[in-house]
Amino acid sequence: MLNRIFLPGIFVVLAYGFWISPEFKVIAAGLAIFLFGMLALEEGFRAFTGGTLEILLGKATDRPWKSISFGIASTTLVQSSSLVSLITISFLSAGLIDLAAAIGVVFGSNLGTTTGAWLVAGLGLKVKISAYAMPLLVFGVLLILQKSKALRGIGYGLTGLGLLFLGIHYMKEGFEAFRDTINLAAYAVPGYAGLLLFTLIGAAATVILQSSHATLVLIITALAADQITYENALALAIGANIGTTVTAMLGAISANVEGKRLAVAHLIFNMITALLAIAFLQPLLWGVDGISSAIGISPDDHTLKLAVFHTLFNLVGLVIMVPFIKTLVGLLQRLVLIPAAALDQPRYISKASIEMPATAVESVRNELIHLYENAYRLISHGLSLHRGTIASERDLAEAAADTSRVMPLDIDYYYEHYIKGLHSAIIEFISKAQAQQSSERWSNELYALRQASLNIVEAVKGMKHLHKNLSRYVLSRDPYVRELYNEIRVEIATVLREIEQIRDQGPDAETILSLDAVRLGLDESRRKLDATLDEFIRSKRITAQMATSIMNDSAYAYNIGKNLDDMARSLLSAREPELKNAEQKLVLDDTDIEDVLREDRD
Amino acid sequence: MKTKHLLEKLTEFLDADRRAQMAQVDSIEEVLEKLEKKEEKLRSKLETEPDPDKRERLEMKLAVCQAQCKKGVQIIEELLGKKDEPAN
Repeated sequence: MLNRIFLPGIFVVLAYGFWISPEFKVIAAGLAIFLFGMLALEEGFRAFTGGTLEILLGKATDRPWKSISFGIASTTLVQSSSLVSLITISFLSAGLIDLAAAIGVVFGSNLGTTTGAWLVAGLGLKVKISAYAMPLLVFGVLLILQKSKALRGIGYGLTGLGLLFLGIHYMKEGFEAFRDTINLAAYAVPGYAGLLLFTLIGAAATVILQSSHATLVLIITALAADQITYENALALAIGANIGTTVTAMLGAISANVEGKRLAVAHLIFNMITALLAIAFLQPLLWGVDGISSAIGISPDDHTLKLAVFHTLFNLVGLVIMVPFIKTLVGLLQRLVLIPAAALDQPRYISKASIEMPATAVESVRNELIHLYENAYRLISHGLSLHRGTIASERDLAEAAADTSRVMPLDIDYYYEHYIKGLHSAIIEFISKAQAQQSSERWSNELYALRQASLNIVEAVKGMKHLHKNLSRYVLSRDPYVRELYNEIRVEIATVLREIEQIRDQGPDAETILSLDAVRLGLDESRRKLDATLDEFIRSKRITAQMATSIMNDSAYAYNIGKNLDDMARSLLSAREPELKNAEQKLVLDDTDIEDVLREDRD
Repeated sequence: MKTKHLLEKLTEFLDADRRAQMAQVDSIEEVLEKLEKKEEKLRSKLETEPDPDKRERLEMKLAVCQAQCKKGVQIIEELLGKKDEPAN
């Protein structure tokens, strides 16, 4: 709705500006080229996500100082705090890093983004960078046309850099030409009124441009051409810091609750930093003068002094805020709550994590574990066995025999509220993610995870069928019927226990190959149950009618075990493709299992 | 002799197929290491387990583990055997 009014309004203003001033047209075109350059640069770095960047982010955020340094370094490198924020939000949403680490990255990223001002003020205005833009564009476009993903990524990076340089050049030219016709500095507002007014203008400009980096470049080029005063440029820079949080807040709308918390943390940090900069402007300016004279910046070099100011006030904000990261996390957890809903909501999959393949796969994996945990609770309750018992070392047959009451469970309610919705959300997410993946590896991984989700649902449905008779016969007065149903319970509980053991020990210590014993155990249990059943029928200990019911239930139990086994093989296999491949090579096929069984019987 | 050794190294470096095979061998060895540790654990559990049902289950797990190890060793031998075959 806002866009419907806002966008045509901007078009009209721009068209009017182009009509009355050719210089304005040059500045606007420079800005457009610059912004397009940033998009190309982001596209270039995206080519390298789906591996390197994710691994780096995962490893570099286990300590606060590491996450802050990562934020500074990555933003300096990619020159886009929005890309770093986007990746951080997607990682946070996918549950790969915690909120404190993500806040560290965003705080660091705020400082990293100030290097942009240094590059433009120190390099962009001092040398004729448009001369570098041309070869960068030519080499870049040539590389974009290549088939290799890595080369295309480099191509986009070079083209982006070329466009950034070209954009700065046009902005500089435009402002210099402007100087001959009109002096914008005449509209300068001195004092605190000017400070507040230009802070607001800076914030508004950043919201429109959706990039504090672009606003900074615009400010620096205007300042270099004396179109704005140094004081007003400082206020605009403070405003840019506030404006950038609006972009982050808009980005967080589609993120999950953790992403929203991060956006609020970003807003709090930038607002506090901006308020501090406004309140302590004079001491900060003394600091800027001191630093500038110490590093050899001349007193009238306002563009470089602006870069010093931008870095200094963000650094002050960082130093003040870092000790409060933990407090901030606590505050955000109380302030931004998980929406209370009747249905269990997805925790990890969100729009924020769909674009990058590795993150999308990881978020699905985590969501499936969430779904499995719900299914585990449902199945164990359905078996009238506590999860604590299943996960313990206690003899399961003994625990089943000791059951004194059937656990109450509204299986349909539980299925509707804790399984179905999550499963549907996972399937929908996977379909959307697959549409965006061109890589066979990620596509296959997503396909396997979709099967795992179906396996979980099938196991739960099996439990639905089994539950009616189980709850009826768990405490049956007939010891033979009770014994047979206890065997069925133990069969399923054993599979759950094995899966829990693999989950507990993690992929570094345990392999999915343990599941081969689960499958063998399932076959053995079924064989034994059939033998016991035959014997009971022959000796007329149970009726033939009861026997057929147990046979049906035994088939359900086998399918539950089989589906859980299949699910675990997809979900808990090694992450590294080589190791996963090696595990799959060692999985026992039917002939191998026959051999094991034969040796076992001999 | 030194040149021959260098040439062998160069051939090995350029032979992507062989490098892929060696990477496979490394990965299988890594899995085998886990399996061996598991086997040890199962054996020590088996030594102290008096319950016949539990013993039976442990024995079955041990048999599976051994079969997987055997399969892994066979695959490694095949992969390394290919390496030793004379080039056509």
